[in-house]
Amino acid sequence: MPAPEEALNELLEMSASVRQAVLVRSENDVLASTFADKGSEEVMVKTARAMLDAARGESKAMGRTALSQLFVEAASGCVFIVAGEKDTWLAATTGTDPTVGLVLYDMNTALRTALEGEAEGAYSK
Amino acid sequence: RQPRVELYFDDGSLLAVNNKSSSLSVKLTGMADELLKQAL
Repeated sequence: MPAPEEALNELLEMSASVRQAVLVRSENDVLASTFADKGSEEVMVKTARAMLDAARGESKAMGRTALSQLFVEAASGCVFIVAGEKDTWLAATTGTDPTVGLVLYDMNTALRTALEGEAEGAYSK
Repeated sequence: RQPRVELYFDDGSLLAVNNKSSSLSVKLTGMADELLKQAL
């Protein structure tokens, strides 16, 4: 199993709160996804990327350092985005009231696993 | 209940914009709502 898929599977096993997740490079290069439906996956990737860009733009305007994680709570659930090296990012959705710190920790672990696997040559797209 | 939006930065700092008057908070919460509605 390629590293990104493995990393996402581990994330779902570790974090019971996570419902869906996508691992993406740059704008919309999907490395791994939990979605069975391609249409829903595309919506998730497009919207999550727009959220990441909006947050980055605002952060830059405020003179902040690079954005590493983003958490947004909405009425029906939460969206988490973790940014990594090589413009690789991981987005996940959860239900309401997740344990934010734990979800972010698990997502960072999954992203690191995916990137390390790629660096070791376990995965090449 | 206020919308919760939290941005974490490379230097370890955190920016929480948990109010309805922040344009960033409104924008991100709206996008998250759309995502959760359409993608799930």
